[in-house]
Amino acid sequence: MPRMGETVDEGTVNEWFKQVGDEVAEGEALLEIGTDKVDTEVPAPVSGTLTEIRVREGETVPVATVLAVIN
Amino acid sequence: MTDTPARDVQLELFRKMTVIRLFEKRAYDLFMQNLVKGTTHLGTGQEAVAAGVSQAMNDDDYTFTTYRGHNHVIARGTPLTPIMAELLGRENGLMRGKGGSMHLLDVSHGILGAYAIIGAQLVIANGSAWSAQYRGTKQVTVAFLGDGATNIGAFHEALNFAVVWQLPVIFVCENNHYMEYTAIDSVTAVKRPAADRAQAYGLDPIVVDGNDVEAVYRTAQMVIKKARDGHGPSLIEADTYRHGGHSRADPGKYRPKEEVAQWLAKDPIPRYRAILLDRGVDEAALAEIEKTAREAVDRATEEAKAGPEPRLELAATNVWADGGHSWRN
Repeated sequence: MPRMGETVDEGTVNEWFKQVGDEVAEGEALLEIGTDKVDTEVPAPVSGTLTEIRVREGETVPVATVLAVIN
Repeated sequence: MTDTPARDVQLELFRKMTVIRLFEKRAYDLFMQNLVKGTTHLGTGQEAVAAGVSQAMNDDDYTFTTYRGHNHVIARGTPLTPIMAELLGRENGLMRGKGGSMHLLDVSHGILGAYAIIGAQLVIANGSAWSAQYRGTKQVTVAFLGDGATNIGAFHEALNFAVVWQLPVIFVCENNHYMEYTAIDSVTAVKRPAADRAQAYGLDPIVVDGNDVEAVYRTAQMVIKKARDGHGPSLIEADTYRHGGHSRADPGKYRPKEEVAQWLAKDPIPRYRAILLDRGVDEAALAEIEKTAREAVDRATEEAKAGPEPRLELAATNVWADGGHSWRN
């Protein structure tokens, strides 16, 4: 979970655009997160297969929480 | 038929844009990993302006930039590691980790600061230009601004006195068509926010394709020569587009998708790469430049990450030029 502002300590997963098993390309929108500062899309940092989603839609987690795993 | 710059200049323009693009992409990734302290404003998509203008400058010329200023600092030759380390708030940063992305400064490469107050750099740049004029050094000062700054009082004050005193200063407006979240044309009385206003102060309304690096370079060469020869200031409005949002928390969704797509198709880097290949530049030479740039950004990232957090005692340093920090009246 990225820190979307200096005073923002948590974020909510609004929506996953990909499912486990999907191929994702670097830079492709992976999910949308929401914070009290902004709602924004998070792009895939690398290309690969989305093997695990650890935070479901609607869940709020602290910044730096691992959201998903791409192999 | 316009003059084509020498081959080594062409490759240097391509190299500068490539390094900037990769640096900005890395800065974005590091932000998403929570490693960048504070916010940053990326210049992705606007590389041709920084590369073209800097290429026309002498080593001892001065640059003033904005909070969207990584581009201009990299283009002047500041090493990548202290810039990256500054973004990460580390002691090996340009400002020893105390300034962050918006306050880069490197006097040794002519960078007299990045200014986060919109338009503030323009009047200060006049001071730098006045100093060079007074000392007779022939140095030229280049001050970058965004389109939004053209609706700020300081912009008009700076243009007025630059002309009154015939200062060797060049104002370069990177018109990326959006202020923070607002389209510039929805809040501006004239079509060309910088160039149309320049005419009010007796300057030519120079507009250049800011995604055409050689057009920027040629234009900058012309106005910098004019300033160096003692014929006064100029303003360039460079038409360009930021690929991302205003700052990293901004997805930029206020921009029409078709508009974004049109500008992505005019991306200055692939565009110039294709031109160079057309002219017979070896593909391997360009690939080598890209590889070297990637390695430089990787190295800067590792060296920045390895830098220590600033020590507490550094908080009271770099306040006065003589090293002191006590209150003075």
